[in-house]
Amino acid sequence: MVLLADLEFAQKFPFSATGKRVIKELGVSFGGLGERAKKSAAERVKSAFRGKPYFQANLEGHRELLESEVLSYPLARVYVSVIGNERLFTGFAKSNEKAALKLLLEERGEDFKIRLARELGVEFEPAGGDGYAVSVPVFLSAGLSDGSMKLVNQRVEKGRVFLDRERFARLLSGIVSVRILESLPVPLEGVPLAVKNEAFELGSALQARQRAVFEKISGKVKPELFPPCMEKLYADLLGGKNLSHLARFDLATFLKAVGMQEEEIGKAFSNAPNYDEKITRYQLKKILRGGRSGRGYSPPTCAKLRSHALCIAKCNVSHPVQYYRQGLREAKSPVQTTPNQASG
Amino acid sequence: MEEKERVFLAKNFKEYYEKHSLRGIPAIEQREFGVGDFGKKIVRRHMFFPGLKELNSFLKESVPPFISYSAAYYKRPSARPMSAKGFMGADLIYEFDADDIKTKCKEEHDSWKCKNPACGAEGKGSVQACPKCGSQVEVKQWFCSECLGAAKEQTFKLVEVLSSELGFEEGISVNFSGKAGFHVHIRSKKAISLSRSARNELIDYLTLNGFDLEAHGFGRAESSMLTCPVLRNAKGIEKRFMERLSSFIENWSAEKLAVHGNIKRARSSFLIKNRNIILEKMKEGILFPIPAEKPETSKKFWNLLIEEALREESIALSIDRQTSVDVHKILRLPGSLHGSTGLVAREVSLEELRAFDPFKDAVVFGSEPVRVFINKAPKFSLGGESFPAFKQTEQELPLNAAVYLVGMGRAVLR
Repeated sequence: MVLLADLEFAQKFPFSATGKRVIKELGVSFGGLGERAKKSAAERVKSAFRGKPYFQANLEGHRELLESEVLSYPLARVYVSVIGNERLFTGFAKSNEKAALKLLLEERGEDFKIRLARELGVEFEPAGGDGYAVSVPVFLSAGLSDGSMKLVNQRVEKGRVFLDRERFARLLSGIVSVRILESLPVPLEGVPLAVKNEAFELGSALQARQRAVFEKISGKVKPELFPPCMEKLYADLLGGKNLSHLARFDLATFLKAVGMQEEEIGKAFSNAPNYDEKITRYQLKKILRGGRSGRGYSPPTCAKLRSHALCIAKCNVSHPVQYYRQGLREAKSPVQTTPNQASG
Repeated sequence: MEEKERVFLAKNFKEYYEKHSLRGIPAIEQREFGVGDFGKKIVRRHMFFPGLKELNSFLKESVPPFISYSAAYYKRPSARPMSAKGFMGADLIYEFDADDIKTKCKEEHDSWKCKNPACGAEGKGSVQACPKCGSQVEVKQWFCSECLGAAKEQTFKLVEVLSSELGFEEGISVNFSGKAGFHVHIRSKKAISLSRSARNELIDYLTLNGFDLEAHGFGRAESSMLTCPVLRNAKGIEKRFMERLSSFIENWSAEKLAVHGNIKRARSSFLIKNRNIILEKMKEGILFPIPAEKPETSKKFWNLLIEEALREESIALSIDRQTSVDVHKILRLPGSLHGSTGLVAREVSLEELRAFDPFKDAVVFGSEPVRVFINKAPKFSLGGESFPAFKQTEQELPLNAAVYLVGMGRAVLR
């Protein structure tokens, strides 16, 4: 019988060592999962698609419910791996990162952080007050590059980064995200056909919904052929998320380059949280019709996107527009698998 | 460059390589090499040498004016494209080029000329575009101990930050580029395995890109009090920064404070008189409001000083971002000769760096007399001798100076 305390920890952090151990101990095969676990797994995938966290709170003490939740995690990983979409992998990692962060920030003590750090193999030392110190390479391994978690905004001395409770929580969840992303897709041998079919259905439903939203806005541009970086930015924008100035610039120039009209681009940006019509029109005019050439600024290369921390997948191209154009060509004449096809 | 000059340089370089074999290149068989010609530093890449013997034979036979090697380690260095090489990690490299650092001496020894034949304006220093007609300009650069001195200072600062703050004390070496700069090379296991995003973050740290004052504890407390990091607890950039800010209050005259902080002289005099209180408060994390002034004026004053502190070049280093993040870059091979100067790109230990003068310590050619015709060259010293500025004159120069001027395109053989 799995210890209740371990089960509760595993539900909070299913990717931890305890989580993995509990999943193994519960010993349920994919074919033997109940409806509750399947439903939760589907919810996990939907949240991943939207980049939102997933966590069922207030299940303390309810053994059966906890078990379903814990088991829904590996099932969700299989679903995500079957659907096989790079953007979904990133979304899944981010979703788990956000859920973990919330739990770590809300805990009253330090137990979760300390236990999770130990289970993830993250070396740290207590550092006076309620702080932690980790080595610079460990800090950098979380791959965080935004705002308050940039290395340049940390207190660094003798090769160690000093973090308060909040930043340590952010570091740990960042590492969670990196590890999850590295582990996807999972190997699919032995996964029953029924489970794969469930995944396909789930994936189609999600993509159909997304396509409907996109089509209403995009005109003749095909967002489903966007590279993962632009797909994410575009979806985030339409979903009302706030994009950084750099991200907006990169997205706007990309959209113009793939044929979206300035008016349509303006409409897409009307979904931004701090939207001001006049300012947006002015900025778009400058970006799309200004610059030295008077024909607007050119869209970012992959290298530029990487330096803006907007690249989220390995695509084997050097320019997002190249990715889009390749997709258009393949869509027009579906690729026949010839043995001597040169790689990109 | 004409054939005669090419041959002259090649002959001398060949003699050098015949007498001096390169040594001490770690993991040579895992590096990609590239060679260049006069006018183009990289004409051929994807070269591979299984060992020092083969490398040295190549140098003696082909005598490339420029030879570089990769910071990266590859399983198959000669494979193409890049993705097929089997990347295994790369040294961490930072470059300081005298070209990129603003120094006063450039006004004296650099010159520009308008490319527009109808205009023909020229002048000293360098400009982005012709001030008379707006066309593109050709800039002729020169280097002296002052601009190289600036590159050296940045190198020291970088090594300091790398070791005392970032914890990369092991495996650091500094190499003179052979012309106008220094490369800092970090070769520890920790450095070699850094991911691209980690390298991005490191360069942001060094150049203060994305530095957020609020994230470091600068902000508004209550009323007109601004907060700042407490010096006692400050570490790293914060510490350097707060020390800088404190030094303004400690050392500046009332005049300077008034000008830089945009306040009345009477106010700054008051601040100077009460220096100690202000410094005490700063240590506690409070930026003292200027009495009898509006809160906005105080805030502006401190923000101006903070901006000033940020501009200080010991806080943010002037490292070229592009080259430092590119893990596939190739850089001058230490021990090789630089085709534009004839100087040797050599390793310089940290102890030697302070006194290192490339115009003395990187000179390899002797002083046998050579006749050259010099078009135009600013004054310079080489090999312990000083030379005045030359213009349209034939001279007999020591070999090392002749090689230098010919390589820099300022002279031809007679």
